[in-house]
Amino acid sequence: MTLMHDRDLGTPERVSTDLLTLEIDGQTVEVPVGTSVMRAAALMGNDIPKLCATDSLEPFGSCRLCVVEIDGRKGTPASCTTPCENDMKVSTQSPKVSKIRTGVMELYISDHPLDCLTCPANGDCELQDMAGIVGLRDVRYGYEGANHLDGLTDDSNPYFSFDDSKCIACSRCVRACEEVQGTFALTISGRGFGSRVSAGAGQSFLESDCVSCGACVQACPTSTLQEKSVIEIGLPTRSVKTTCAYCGVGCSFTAELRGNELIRMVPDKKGGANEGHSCVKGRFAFGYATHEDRVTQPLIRDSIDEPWRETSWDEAIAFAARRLRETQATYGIDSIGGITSSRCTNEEVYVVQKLIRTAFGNNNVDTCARVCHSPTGYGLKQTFGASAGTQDFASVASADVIMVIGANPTDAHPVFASRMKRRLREGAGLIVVDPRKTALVRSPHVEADFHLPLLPGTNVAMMNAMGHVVVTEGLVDRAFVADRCDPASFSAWEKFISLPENSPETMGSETGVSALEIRAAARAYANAANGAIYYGLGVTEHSQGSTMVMAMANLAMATGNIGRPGVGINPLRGQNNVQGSCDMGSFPHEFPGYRHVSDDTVRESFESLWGAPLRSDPGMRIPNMLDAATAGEFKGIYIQGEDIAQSDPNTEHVMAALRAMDVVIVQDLFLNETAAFAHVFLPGTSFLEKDGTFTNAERRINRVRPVMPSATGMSEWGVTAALAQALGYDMHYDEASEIMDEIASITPTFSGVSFSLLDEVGSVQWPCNEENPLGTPTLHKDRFVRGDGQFITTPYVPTDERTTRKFPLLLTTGRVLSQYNVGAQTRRTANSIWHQADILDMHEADASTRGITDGDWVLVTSRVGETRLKVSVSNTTPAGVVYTTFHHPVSGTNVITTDNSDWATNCPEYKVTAVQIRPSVMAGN
Amino acid sequence: MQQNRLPIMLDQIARNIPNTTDPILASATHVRTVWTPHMIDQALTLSQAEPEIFTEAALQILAQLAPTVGTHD
Repeated sequence: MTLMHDRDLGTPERVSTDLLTLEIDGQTVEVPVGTSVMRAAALMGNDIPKLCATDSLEPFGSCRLCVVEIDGRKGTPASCTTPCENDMKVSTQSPKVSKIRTGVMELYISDHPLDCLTCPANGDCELQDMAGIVGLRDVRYGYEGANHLDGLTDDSNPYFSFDDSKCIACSRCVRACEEVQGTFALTISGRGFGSRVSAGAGQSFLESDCVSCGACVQACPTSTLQEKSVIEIGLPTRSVKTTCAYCGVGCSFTAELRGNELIRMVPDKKGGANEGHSCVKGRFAFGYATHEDRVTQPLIRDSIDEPWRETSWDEAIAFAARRLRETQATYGIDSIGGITSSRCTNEEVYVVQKLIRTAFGNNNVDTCARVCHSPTGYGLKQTFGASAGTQDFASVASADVIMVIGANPTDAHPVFASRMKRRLREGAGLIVVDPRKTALVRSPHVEADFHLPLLPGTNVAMMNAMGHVVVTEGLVDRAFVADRCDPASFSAWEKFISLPENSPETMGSETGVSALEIRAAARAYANAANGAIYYGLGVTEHSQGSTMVMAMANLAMATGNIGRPGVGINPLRGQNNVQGSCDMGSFPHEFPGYRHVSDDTVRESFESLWGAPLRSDPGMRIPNMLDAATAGEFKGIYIQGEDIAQSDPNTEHVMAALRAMDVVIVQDLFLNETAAFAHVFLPGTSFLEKDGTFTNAERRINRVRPVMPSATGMSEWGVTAALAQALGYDMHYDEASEIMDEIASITPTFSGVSFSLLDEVGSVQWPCNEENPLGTPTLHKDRFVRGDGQFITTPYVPTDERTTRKFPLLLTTGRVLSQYNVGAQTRRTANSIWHQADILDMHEADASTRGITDGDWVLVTSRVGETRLKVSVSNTTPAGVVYTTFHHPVSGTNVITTDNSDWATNCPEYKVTAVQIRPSVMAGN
Repeated sequence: MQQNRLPIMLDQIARNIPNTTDPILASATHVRTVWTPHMIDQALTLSQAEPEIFTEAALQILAQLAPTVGTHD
């Protein structure tokens, strides 16, 4: 239930060009074939009473409240499960159906607590609404008979409760868990009068497989499944539509508040990315925004050995500007730089890179996307001409074979995973390329046709082997290649990929996967009517991350799987605005819109707009800045919303670099690990206080609206502009919309974007311009952005990070559902109940040879450092490979990851670290 | 000295640069696209002082980049 009642048409939309005509209550209506009578009536504005039906779930026909009469038919069919037919004549109101509905309601109410006035859902309850609509005035059966009023309440989940006494057994929660989320955690146990909703086999919600996505709470028509915040505080009184700030799915939500207190986040049915669904983080884990750890006053200090001193915004900005200028005066103009954040809005990112290029006078700007998806930008630009994924999320519903490479969407992109699983349950094939047995490999009603558990670091070997099969077994889509791709590059690639050294038989020894399996998987992908590739950081965070992106693009082009729904190369971005921060010119060699700084025409247009001379030479990337800092050449940095001391590899080196700087400015919500080395702390704003836009993994530009006033009294872009002013560069905006207007004026792919357009249509996917005024869901439809698709030869070059007798295991890293990246947000929410520490997953063979058992502490040693972790012995991770997360600073996961990086982009090789593991008597922190 | 990472980076680019009949030239182009002039100058200077820490391919890339020495200071 929600405060903002979106129109519920009762059953899902059916899409068909075949229409049929019928009459409902004397009025003629035309609907697509497959439309239910209930939906047809609702489309006419005639809502038939209902309880078990809702338009986000398939019709079920259990409540019997929606009965109608149909001419020529016996009885009173349920309108939700009855499809329309041509010339049908339906009566939704008649004495007969009215009597049935009233009788049904009497039965429901006879077994329901009569506590409406004190119920948390009072005024927001469909049962209450329906009782009014059917005109219930009496309950002839009384309230003394057998009932469920003594049903127990399950309060085990930190965010919602389940009150069995209020359950009407409509199964909406069970169906939501199945159809929307795809977890199948809930069921109806018992039969007849004994039918009750059950989480798992008699378990509590917390003990069950429930992933707390909130779909059941959303679907519940009563207060049975209710947010605890509503129970404790009351119903919200106002609402604001905005966008989630966790992963790159970018779900749309309605934030519902009482005054400025956020009561709940309700997923938006009209949200293009999520279509009414959510995950535990976006739905519930927003408490960090008002956590007591937040710093809301600027802080300064002369030296990192001194305590912080609270100060005013004016003094903090003047202090920061003075330190930056002193540093440049002493060490040169290139001695300072900055990092933009993929957690911040497009507008906030844009002004930071503008500040650096103008007021700092150099191009030393980089972004946290450096350490995640920079190879995506590079690889897709080289092959297709656009540094972005090719599809919208809805495209997966048209895919026939889905290949998931180096991604665990169930945990990291759960709302998209639910979409994908829906398609898999409909019969799409699934290939999982991942060292680990992720949830997608086998979960309720989903089982991968192929799991290729390759050794970390051998992605390119695997993709080349697949390409070899496609070419040598005659599976190339010759017509697509001839029509759409550069012929010379294809010939070169075809020759290269056909070499025996790329065969599955040869590459199998590198990947550890049998040639037969590789061949079968390649055939499945190539022969699919629509083959789609989805990938994550398991592709990019390698020494050949960029090569792998290009290898996937080669495979997609060779098989004609580009340019229509159901296909494509789709990066699953880790953070909410990775795509946007890259689009906004955060790379040191590119202005907004991915245009090189050396392009005179482009640079002159920015100089003209910004009124400042701009440099034509690339600036430093993050690792270059850190290296230069330890060499004593780089002395100042402005870090917007990134905790490099925890998130970047080789922590010791990062800390040494930060310690060597004269001015470190951190703009963040919390005093994070990096802030320990800072001289200026500029308090940031949470997503609930921001005004701007995020761009998600499908290039969808969504509005982020201020839900509550800024806790700091400043907008983040306002702080950046003030710093620019203090440095002598005239930067001024009155509203965030003015920044987007400026972006649109200078960035061709954004030229049609404005806040007013987004407010009008909800969201658009770039390019949004004169040619595509409402955006572009699918890229490269008729031609590639670069013209002809460019095949690129992708020789497999093994990583330098090898296992040896000293370091015999490979460590790879990832994330879990309940926590998010370095955990700065989720560790400050009740999500910690599910994940309180980073754990090392270890195969039982590796554990037993070392005398390690489940729950033991171990010492993990790499070539650059060591840390201690607790072990979980399982077979999720193959022998020879160990796995952990990096959500908790005390774990020091990145103390042991190395400086190795992607050859083209310097994206760190987080996914491959050679380690040794020994039992540790001493526990970790 | 962190600048010692530059020889490794150059060698890695040379070994990975795809799609070309002239990998040295292509590597040099890539370096010019994304490296700062100062990094290029540092690598060139280092290659003169300690050529043994560079691979042959890395030295060949630097030879292509040599004309840029000093042009950005």
